[in-house]
Amino acid sequence: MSHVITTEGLTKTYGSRTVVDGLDLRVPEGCVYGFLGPNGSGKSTTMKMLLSLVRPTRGEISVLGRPVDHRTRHELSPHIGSLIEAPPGYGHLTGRENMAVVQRMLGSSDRQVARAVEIVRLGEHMDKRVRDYSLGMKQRLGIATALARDPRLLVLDEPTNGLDPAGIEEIRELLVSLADRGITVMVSSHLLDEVDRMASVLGVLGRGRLIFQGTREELFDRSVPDLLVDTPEPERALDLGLPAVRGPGGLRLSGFDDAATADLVRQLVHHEVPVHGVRRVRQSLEEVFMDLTGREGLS
Amino acid sequence: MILAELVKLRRSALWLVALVLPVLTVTAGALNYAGNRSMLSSGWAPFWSQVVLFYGLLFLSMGVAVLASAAWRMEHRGHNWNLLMSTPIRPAAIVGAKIAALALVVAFMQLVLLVLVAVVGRLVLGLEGMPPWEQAAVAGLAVVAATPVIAVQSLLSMSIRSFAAPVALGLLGCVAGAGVLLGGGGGVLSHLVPQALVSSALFLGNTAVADSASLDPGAVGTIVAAAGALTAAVWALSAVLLARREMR
Repeated sequence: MSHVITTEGLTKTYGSRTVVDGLDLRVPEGCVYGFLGPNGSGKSTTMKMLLSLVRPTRGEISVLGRPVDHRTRHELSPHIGSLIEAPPGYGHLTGRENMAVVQRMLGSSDRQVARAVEIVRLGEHMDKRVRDYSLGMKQRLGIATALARDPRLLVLDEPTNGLDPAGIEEIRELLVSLADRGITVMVSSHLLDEVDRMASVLGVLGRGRLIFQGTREELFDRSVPDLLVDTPEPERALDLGLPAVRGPGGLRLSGFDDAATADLVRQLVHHEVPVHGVRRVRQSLEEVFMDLTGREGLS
Repeated sequence: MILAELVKLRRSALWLVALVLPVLTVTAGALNYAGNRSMLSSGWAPFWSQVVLFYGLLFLSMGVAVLASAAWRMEHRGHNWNLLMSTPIRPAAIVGAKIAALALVVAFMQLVLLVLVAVVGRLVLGLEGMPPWEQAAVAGLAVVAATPVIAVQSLLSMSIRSFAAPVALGLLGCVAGAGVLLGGGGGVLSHLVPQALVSSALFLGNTAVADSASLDPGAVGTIVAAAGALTAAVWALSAVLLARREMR
């Protein structure tokens, strides 16, 4: 699988404070890569390093097959659309004039700009001043500026920040459709639910370190959900000294993988504890993360 | 990039500054001229000398400082730096376009000044004929002479987020420039301090200001050369600093 972004030991320190610590990112081509982590975990700094807006203290970055540094920024930037921290925009200008500024800076064609505006469905608001835009409209304008160059890669930092549920859904559909067109999308969020439904690959950052990277399925595989044993006689099972607590329908046990589950069932049957059913708790992505991060959570 | 800067100037408050400053300058000059008619000879030259006296020493350079702060405030506000620095535009072009856009606004300000001098001179002060061409030439030369101030103030406003701090530093520059000129330093120093260069240009051929040079090709050439060299140096420094800038 070819990767649009790879980093090796990417590190950024400010004074004695390490903000990003030894990241080895692998962002596959054509995917939506969800970059998750709580506020202050180093997501924005990492994205700024990918865009050459911030210089790494240590480590290597390769984007679209080219090393990233201040010399290659001008070669790479026509292919990378970005939205970092908050949408840009000149408040005294209309949406159309803002796009004209971007068009002249990027050397984009009228067609590229019109297409970008059409994709974010901002057409009817283009003659309104940006200072009068809602946050959602500003976000969409920001994404339109990122798209105005026909990018191969989009780096979007919290693009759904401050949006209402309908706006979040709209951005989600937009990003998935862009990935369907072959654009690789790296999108950060501190809210798991937002990313869960659009990202096919996830990177989880905690205190500047990459806690997990892989597909959603691999993430679930990494975590062992609790086991629920349906039995009408949980007391007898507890008397056997099992590390269990009372749960819905009987017992709840943590940390039992498939082999341990088979042993458990064998033990219960051997001691003639009636077993009506054994199942795993359905986990949300958030619970998986909680599991991964030692119940500290992400936000 | 210059085209992008021109779009940013639409409906910008910069035009208001460029309009108000000449109005204040010509009003003050006209009041001074009218109040001292007994001491001044009559005509366009004495009126012009009253107009450019404080304009050359203070108003123009301070106006540039305010314009530069306002122009860069657009970038400091609302995360526009991230946008600017993630385009293929090189730092030298970003800074150069800003300097050029500011020079355009200053040129407009000079044009307003000339028009106001002619209108107020004829209609309010009752001067005969039209202002001499030398005044238009000096006003035009002042745009060139102001480019180092534009470049320096642009560098300060690019580097400092505050609106007021670069303006305050500009005021210090004016004090230094006035000190160089009025202290009789003149010579090379008056062409090295950007604010003093603006004064020197506006005072060319002005008999009301002691030590002012006459409007001849030699004086004009020296001012243009000094302005070109200073602007190029500050532009290059700005581009280097911008290339090294981290977007924290």
